[in-house]
Amino acid sequence: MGRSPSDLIVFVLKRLLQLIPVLFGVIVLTFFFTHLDLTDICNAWYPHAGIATIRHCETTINQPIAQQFLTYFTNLLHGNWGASVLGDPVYPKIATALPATVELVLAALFLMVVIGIPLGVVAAQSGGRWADHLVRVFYLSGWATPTYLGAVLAAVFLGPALGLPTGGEYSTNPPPFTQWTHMSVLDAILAGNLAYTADAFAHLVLPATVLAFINMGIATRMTRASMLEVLPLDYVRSARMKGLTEFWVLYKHALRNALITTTTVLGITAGGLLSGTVVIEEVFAWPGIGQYAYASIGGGGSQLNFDGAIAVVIVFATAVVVANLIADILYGVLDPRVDWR
Amino acid sequence: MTEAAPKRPRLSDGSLGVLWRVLRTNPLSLGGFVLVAVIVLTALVVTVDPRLLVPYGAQQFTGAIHAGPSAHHLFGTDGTGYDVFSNVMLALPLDLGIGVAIAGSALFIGGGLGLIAGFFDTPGTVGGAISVSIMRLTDIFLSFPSLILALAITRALGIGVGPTLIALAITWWPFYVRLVRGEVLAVKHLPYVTAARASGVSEWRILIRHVLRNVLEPIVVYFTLDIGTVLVTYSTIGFIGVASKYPGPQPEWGAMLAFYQSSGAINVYPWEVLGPGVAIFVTVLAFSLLGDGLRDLLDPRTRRAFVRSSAGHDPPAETPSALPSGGEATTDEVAMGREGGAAA
Amino acid sequence: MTEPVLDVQGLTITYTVGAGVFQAVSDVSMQIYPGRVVGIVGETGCGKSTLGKAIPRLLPEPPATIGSGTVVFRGTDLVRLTKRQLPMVRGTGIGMIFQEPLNSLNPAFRVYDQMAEAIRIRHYRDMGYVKSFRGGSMPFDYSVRSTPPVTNPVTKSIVPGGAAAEAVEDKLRTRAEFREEVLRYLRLVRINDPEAILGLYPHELSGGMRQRIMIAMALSERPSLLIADEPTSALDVTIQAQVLTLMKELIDEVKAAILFISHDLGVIAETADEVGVMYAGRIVEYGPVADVFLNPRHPYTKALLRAAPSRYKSDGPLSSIPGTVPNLSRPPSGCRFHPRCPLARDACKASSPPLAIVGAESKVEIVASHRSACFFPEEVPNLP
Repeated sequence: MGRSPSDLIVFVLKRLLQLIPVLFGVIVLTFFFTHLDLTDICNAWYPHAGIATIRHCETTINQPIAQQFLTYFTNLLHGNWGASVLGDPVYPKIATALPATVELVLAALFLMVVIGIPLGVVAAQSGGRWADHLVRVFYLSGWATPTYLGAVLAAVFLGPALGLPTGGEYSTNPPPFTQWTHMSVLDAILAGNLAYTADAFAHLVLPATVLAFINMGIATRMTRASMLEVLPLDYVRSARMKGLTEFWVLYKHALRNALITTTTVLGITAGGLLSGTVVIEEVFAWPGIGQYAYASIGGGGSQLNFDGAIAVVIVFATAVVVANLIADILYGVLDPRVDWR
Repeated sequence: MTEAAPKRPRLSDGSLGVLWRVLRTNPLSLGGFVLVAVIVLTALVVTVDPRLLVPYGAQQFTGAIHAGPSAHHLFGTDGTGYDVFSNVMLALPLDLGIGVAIAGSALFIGGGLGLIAGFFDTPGTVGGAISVSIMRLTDIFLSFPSLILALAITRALGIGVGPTLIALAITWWPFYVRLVRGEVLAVKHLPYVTAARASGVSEWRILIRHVLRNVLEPIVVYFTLDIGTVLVTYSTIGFIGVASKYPGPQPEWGAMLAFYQSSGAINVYPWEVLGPGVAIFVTVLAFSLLGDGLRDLLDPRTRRAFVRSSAGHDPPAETPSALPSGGEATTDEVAMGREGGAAA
Repeated sequence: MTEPVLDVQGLTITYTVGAGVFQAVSDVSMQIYPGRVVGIVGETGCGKSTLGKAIPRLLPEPPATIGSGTVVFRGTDLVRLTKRQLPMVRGTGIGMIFQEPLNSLNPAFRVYDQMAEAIRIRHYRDMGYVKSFRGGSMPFDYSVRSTPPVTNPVTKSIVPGGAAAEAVEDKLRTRAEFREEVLRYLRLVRINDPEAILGLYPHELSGGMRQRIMIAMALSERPSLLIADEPTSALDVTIQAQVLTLMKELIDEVKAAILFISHDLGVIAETADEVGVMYAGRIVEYGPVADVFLNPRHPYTKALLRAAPSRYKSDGPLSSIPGTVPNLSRPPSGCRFHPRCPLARDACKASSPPLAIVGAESKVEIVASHRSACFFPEEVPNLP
């Protein structure tokens, strides 16, 4: 059996190696698609950038696209992610924004797991009856709600009604301590500041809830489908026959196996959660990579930040690939039949 | 048995009998079906003759500014005195058309590539090489969150409906490749396909007659769900402000929402935001309810719970499939991934 | 006078599938007394497995419904129990060994965890922690292990060295003691090196091994009634023989009441004390194994014996039963066997024959008399 720790390490290394061509492809495609048609891009920068920048821009744009790519890629390999028109370098921004987004996504994922999975079990258990219909309407509603509508409604009506803050990471910005990790709750805990921990937590609730609600269908539907698959199996019947109560039969014996597929799908969800952050972070003023993406792409009439936009796409794509890898590893951990080799 | 039983019930069985069975046993799907029918019908009427259903023009001053919902103005009027309901209705054909067009283009591009990648996957042949390169490219595209890539492409092409459509078309197909390829691989080694091949039926004929027919139904179901997803994504791009302009002669829901929301009046005049918001919500929910119910029936896992075998005994127990790590995703996983990827 | 562990009266089970309704089990009555082994034989689809699963209420309801009848287990009618009470009956009251050992163990848990879980359930109930299971009120008193009949209580006989076992019973507190208890039951099912398999997952074990573990798990809860639903059918022939030998040895050791369901006449002949022959949802013949198999009084039993491979009888041609098993959604009128029966006449089509005593009535109360549901039991020809 190839299930020793060394097999796992080899597996992870192999998968990481496979990442390299995918990432290279991602960079090439992103660069190519964003440079499809850039005739007036330099003039668009006119009032904001100096003449020198625009001249530089024009000479760059007039180069063959392969040449441009080579320059960009070489810079990237040297850790230079470029800069916005106004000269703000991209890399430091991403380095502080990414952790904030990871925090938001993890919080949403947590809600999806603790709410969405039990709902899926309930739906499967009452397959075809009213509880099932109710759960399905719930998750399909999340699915059908445009992210911005959910976010705006939550920010305007739900937040004030519940007394929850609807913008930023803390009530005072910046907080009176060093942000080591740029994850708001974690930083407050590291600083040992209880009041700010609670504050950061309160600020996290609404955006995470909206993000989770929009994507709830994924966890719930998958759990429901896997539970419906598992429930008629022999070992569930044996568990029942042992004298276990229905609660343990469902949540220990059946769910433990249903989770194997749900985990895989939650990994694939990463893309959806990240897409959701673009609008949610903008609405809730969350200083994450989604907000940076919104600004870089020129959302709300802001200036296009080309290097920023490319960097964001690359970071998002990498995040998706890494999330899939983590899901694969979890799959193997949950299912003892999986052989790492 | 020459024509062995297909692996799942087919929509074509007994002239849409299965569809009817789902709708009958599942009130939610029936509701979705009725809603979809009403929405499509409304869109057709609005396209043919807007005056039948739409009281005002897109940019017609009604004389009332920020008027609340009433019999005259179902969704009220906005700050310029335009009727919100009329604009929502006039946007319906465009938004629905975008949903069908993008999902349809993805169906053809992705479906075609998936068919090729699945059917000609013999290693060492030209087809095999093509198949491998298609899958590599698909893998790369699958790792983009489609909204982000679409946003970036739209921005590079310039603001407007056209660039947004091109951007969405570029990003939307890869899920269909995975989906169709998985289905083809599942079908092509079934006994009746082997039997057809053994009896000298040509590869193309097998592809069209046997494989395509079996692949079609899960794809159509998925397509139903996907229309809603496209709508949500398109309106998100509209909301970010890189797709359509509003107000204008041709309204669009996402742009309407962005405009009304940014005008900051949501606290005071919530109907302005709720009008297009509810329109998107109801349209997407209708397609999702229908598609979700259909998928329940086509998914071999959930199907067993609802459609019991006529033998009447316990549903046959199967060994839980141990998916090899990193192996083919099931239809549902791919589908869920897409819905996740685009539910923004 | 001894009370039966299980007393089934007039049990009828229907399945509703779409618009169709059919009776999988019709008007079945039987008693199982402490320490007795009752076999049920019949062809596939005759309802024997449905009967076995219906006793601990394991059938999914719907599509199955218990139309009428009672299933009295140690004084409690299981048909009337609520879903919340059912877990209290299962495991420690009624244990079950299933047909499919390959899938009956949970693939995600180690052997030890699954064994220990069963023992923990039994232990908690022994100790009176029953309330911690959300099962509602106890349907019956668990402090009485089994109805105290002629035989010893189950507890003392299964664990080698009765006195020591009794001391063990109240002291399963530490992990080591649980482990020892798990090992004890694995040894009981003749697993030579039980320590080696504790940490393994089910997919790492052979089919025969898995079935032994299932048997150990069922026995470790010390049930008063054990239902074995074709425990050997899904195994390889050589493994079948081993498991069957084990079952036979355990039957002697355990002294629990056992309901042994099988399509294999030979298996029933070797294990059971009494046998019921089922056809199309009904018990058509019932009685002590020797009487039924050597002197069948129902034409179906007769045909079944004739169709069995010659391993179990001396000679005679191997024949098949003419006709087909009836469609239970539209069963034949009267005696359900009449379309295939060589003795059938008009009376058989008109009404259903009762399960009446044939031959001499048994004097020993605990042993059931030989009964047959045939109007003409005397005309059934003797075996060649």
